[in-house]
Amino acid sequence: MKHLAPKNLKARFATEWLEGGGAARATADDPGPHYPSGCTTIFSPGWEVDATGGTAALCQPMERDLYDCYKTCYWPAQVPDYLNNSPDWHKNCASATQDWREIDLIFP
Amino acid sequence: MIRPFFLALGMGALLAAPAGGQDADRFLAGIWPDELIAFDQETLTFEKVGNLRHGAATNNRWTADGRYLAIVTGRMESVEVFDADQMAVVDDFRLSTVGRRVRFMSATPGPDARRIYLVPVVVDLEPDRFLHRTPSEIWVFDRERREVTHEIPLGGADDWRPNIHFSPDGASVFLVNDHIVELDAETFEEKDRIALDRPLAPGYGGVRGHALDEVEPGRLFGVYRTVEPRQGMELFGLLEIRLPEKTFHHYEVGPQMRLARFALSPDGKRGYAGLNDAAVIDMESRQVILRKKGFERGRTNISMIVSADGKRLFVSGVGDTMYVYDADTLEPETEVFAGGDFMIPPAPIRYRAGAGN
Repeated sequence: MKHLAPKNLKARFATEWLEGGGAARATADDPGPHYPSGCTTIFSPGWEVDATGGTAALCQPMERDLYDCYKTCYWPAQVPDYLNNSPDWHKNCASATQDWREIDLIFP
Repeated sequence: MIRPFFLALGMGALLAAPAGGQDADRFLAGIWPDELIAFDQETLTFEKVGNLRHGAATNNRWTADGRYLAIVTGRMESVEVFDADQMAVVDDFRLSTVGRRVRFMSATPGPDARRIYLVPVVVDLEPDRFLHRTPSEIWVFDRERREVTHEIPLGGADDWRPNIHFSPDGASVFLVNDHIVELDAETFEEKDRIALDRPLAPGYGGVRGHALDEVEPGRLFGVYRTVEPRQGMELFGLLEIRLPEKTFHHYEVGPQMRLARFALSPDGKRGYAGLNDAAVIDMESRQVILRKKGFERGRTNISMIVSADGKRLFVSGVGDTMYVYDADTLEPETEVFAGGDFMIPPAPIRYRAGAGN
């Protein structure tokens, strides 16, 4: 790092933060994600990975915790809008791992 | 190590959950979307108990004596009260009106379930938009008066959604999250506040836990992780909170494992921690007597119950299956299909009519 010099405000801020022990404090104070054990912490369309960047901690099978998306995990973005617009999207799907073909298709 | 309650521990997210240490023959659970079922741990079968009134459950909390269960249903706008004495839903209410939706993140029954403690989210329906706000309050709904009688301020932290426990005598309410706040159960005046941001001892890392399991009224267990200062070793330990005495009791048990839930055998001699990994703990010697790395993979279950005879471990709560393990070896014995995906994780029906509990 001694060969690199900060050239803009953000870089100077990052340098001061690191030299001031910011990274160590952030690690020490990190409360950890408030997700149930095993839930993914990262989601973007097409990719879903667990906290380690792998897939081993994701649901197996993937339908297993479908209803947890609006229950324990509370990820309304990952399932159709149960609260307002699509309350019956899963009405024919009692067991997600067995009946997933019965889930309604929801179009925006 | 026993410390006064107000000496600190740094807990992370604390989630109320079904507890172990029970002697119930049956467990109550809910499956998709609104069905209540009971699991008989002798015959390993599920049977239907009844139905909820307003659809799928999104949250539930038991009273410590196991008689009442408050269940959030109706797209988070209704609360239903289940009575284990009658094995039926006996009451329900909602607070939404034409122009306002009041949703509940959780609903916790007081010791006799006359009062329900609500963590609300309010959405005002304006002509052109929704106005969403999360009151930094707990609302106390009185089921006899059919209205919110108290709004307990939480000090301005919008995301401070505590788990709520009660002293066995009913005199105190404990709000548990990153802090523990003791309130008078009648006036809701603050009686005590426990700072949770200091480490256990100089040099140690903070204590972080995932869950507190109430194994009997006023007795809570949690699994925490911390860092030992000399070698920098990550450890897990057990935390026991006794609300009546306002003490907590904690000790490191072994090297870090992926543990969040805790269950206690009915005789109190064995502790079970899980569920990504699993550990069987001798509660007298405080030693791990069996470890299982990779006990569950993927989305781990959220309910772990030791059988009444202490020989089996029932694991479930996510998906549609109850997994039965040998409690001594943690080897799988069998799996039981619940009939649908769990919406209310199984919990022991501890209430006994006429038993004075």
